[in-house]
Amino acid sequence: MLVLLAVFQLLRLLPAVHAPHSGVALLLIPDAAMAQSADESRPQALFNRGNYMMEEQNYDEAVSIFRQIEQNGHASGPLFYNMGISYLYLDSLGLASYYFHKSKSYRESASRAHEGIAATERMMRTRGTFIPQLPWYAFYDWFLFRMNHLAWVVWGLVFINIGVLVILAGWLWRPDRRIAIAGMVVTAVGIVQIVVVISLAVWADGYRQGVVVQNGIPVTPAPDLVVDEDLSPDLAYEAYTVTLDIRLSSQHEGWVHVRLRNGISGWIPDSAVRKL
Amino acid sequence: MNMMHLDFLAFCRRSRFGPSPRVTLPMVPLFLLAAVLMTALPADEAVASDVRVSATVSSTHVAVGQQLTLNVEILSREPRNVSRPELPELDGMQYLSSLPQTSSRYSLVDGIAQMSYRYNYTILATSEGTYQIPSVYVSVDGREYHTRPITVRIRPPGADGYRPQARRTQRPDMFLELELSEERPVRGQQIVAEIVLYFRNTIDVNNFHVTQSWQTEGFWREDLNRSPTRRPESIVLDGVPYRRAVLNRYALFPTRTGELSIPSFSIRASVRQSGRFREEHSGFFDGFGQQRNVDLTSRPTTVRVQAPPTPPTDGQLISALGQFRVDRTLSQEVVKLGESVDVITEIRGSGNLGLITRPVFEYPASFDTHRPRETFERNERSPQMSGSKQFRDVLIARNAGTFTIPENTILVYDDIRRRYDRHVLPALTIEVVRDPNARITIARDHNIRLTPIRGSVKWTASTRRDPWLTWWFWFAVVLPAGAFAYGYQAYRYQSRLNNDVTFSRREGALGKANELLKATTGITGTKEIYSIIHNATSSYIADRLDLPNAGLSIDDLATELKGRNVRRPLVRRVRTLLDKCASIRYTPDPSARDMMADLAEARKLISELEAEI
Repeated sequence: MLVLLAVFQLLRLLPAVHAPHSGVALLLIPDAAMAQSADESRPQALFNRGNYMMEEQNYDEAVSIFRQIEQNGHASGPLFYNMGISYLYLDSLGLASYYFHKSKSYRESASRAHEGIAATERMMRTRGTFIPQLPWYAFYDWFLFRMNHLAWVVWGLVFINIGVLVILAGWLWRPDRRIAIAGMVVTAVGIVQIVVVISLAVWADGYRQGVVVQNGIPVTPAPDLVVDEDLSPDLAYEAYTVTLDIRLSSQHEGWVHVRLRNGISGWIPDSAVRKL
Repeated sequence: MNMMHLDFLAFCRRSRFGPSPRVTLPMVPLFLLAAVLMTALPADEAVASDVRVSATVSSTHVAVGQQLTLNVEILSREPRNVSRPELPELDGMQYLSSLPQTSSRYSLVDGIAQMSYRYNYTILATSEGTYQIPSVYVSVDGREYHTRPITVRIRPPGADGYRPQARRTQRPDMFLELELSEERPVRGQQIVAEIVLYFRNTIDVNNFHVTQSWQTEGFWREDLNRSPTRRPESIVLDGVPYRRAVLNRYALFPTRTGELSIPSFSIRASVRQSGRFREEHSGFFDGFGQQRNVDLTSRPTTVRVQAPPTPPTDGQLISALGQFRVDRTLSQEVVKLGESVDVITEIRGSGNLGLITRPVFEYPASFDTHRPRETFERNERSPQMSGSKQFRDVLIARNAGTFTIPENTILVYDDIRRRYDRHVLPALTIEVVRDPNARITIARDHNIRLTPIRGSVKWTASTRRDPWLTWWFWFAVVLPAGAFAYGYQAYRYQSRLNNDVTFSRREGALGKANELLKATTGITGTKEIYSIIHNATSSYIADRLDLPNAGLSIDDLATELKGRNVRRPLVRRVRTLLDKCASIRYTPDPSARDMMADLAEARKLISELEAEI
């Protein structure tokens, strides 16, 4: 029972399980009925005002309000999703993609965020800046960013707990060597899984995903290097999702080492990337 | 066979390059044919934009006394009522006849019908200089159209021009010449290079093909061979009548300065002597009327290319050399917020169109600029490199309001006047408005359908607590470890109980003794109870000390207890109790009170012994 309770509490910490609201629930709750505590009503009031500005097509003002909410330390999937739409209207594909990616982590906005990302990619294709991701790097990035390390650790803990229970049963409740061995196998699987996943998490901790928010940034082979445009350097366009090497980047202030989706790697200014 | 210039060959077959009468196609049957064909085709809206009117000349560089042909052509997709062109007044030239040579033609190419009307005028160059044939006006279906002016350079007679006649005193009956429109160009200037075949009137040329590729190193070359058919013209060289036919025409653009060589051009022509013919250069003819292949090669030429003069600093250079007109327009002056507007810069005229670079303009900060588009439309029918080049800068407004793109000046080097021309592009004003009817759904271009999320949302702290710092995580880690440790201990204990008899007796001694003593509650016989007390105590000691259960005297037990360092008073008490139990069977029944006290003493002794042994 305690094990289940602990697992439940750990699952609550997973990033994908932030808000249990469903879309239907959102529709049923009127805006006026949201007078809750003072801390909660303020971001909600600002959020409503930002949405009103969006309806007025004043996207600059809407973005300004949404950013105020963000700066106050509040976060939500719908907030980031609406920011993505606003930036899309403002034709800032990089920031739009950035906020769509952020809203992807929240259950209530995850599916819409994927639509937003797809729309951004369609616009990139229209502009001729879209680059497909090579399969190897897709596999690589899955381990780095898409694999939920915490969830895998939790499942490892579940295996260990179940395994120990089975071992105890095989020893004490119904002494049987085979039951005890089965429990040991389950426990060992859980331990190996945790060790491997923690190793992966430590490795992934050295990388972060980012979104390019400036257009036509040359990817240089070394930091502080100015590349002549006549040499046709590789360019990073806004809305590109890139993999940042945090450890390497920490050695050069103002520059980040990135790898593009097509495998090209190099350095771009820190200001050209928003870290997810 | 690498056949070239089919229009020219078609004309050769028709006219045999001989003194045949000029061909004038009957107008009326063609009209009827065209009309029948057009009724069979799907109805196409014949709008005025289908009509194209153009004028070309057979040569833009002639000498005084030479003739050139002015060709006015009207193209449309269906038969039209076309008036005879109004001929403009000419300077330095005169019409040999105001009556044109006319022709009309109907063609169907790739399913597209095209009607062509042609009017050819023969013009005689009368005075030296650079002159312009002004626009020719034509009325098509009552609507007036006009052509672009054409510049013609006329050299003095007998001057050392590019024509070979001045240098030659004795010429063969047939020879090939490379004629350049400019021999001292500046870098990037257009040079029209014509491969010209001269032949006597008594020779028929059936066809020809190029025998060697023409490498023009140092030049960017454009093929002008799609320009209209050049009819051979009759000229007189030093009193000898010749026919002159332009075989190929190229536009050359020198890419560097200095002396650049243009190699020779070689062809093999299939010719036939059609009349009386006897010359010293006619070695390739065996006799009268026989056909032969003749190899002809032009002479290589050298041109001296100069650098263009230093440009003024008050304009933007776009590498344009020639005669160009530069315009800048907006695709729309009022746009909705978020929509795109194109800034269209069009450069139209003749010159190095392919080398012109994109002009760069400064745009207001409220606009996002996107990858510009570039289109190049070449006038294939022009005898020189001409057409239009269009650059479209795509802007998308981020804010509503009125914005101005400032005035700009573009510099173009005019290679005829030898100077830079300033083309001032006036400022453009764009008004960006919000769309009052727009819904809050993006469904514009790109098929985007995104709707904002409204209503109540759940807020979380943007900084999340690290899960490794929560007590639940460590609880989940420690719990199985603790359970495992406990279980392992229990497992080992149980295993020892099962496998180690001594340990099992020792561990079970207390319980066994207590069980025996507890069994006294249902017994009424005093002596029997004392017997149980004796058994419980002695068996407890035997089990704890791993001694045999039977055959041990009280002294043996006391000795073993002393051997295990049990306190002497406790040993004495054990001995006393056991002695009493042993002797009670020979004495009268003790009182119940004594019995209960001894029973309690037995329990107490066992309890105390548990701590000692």
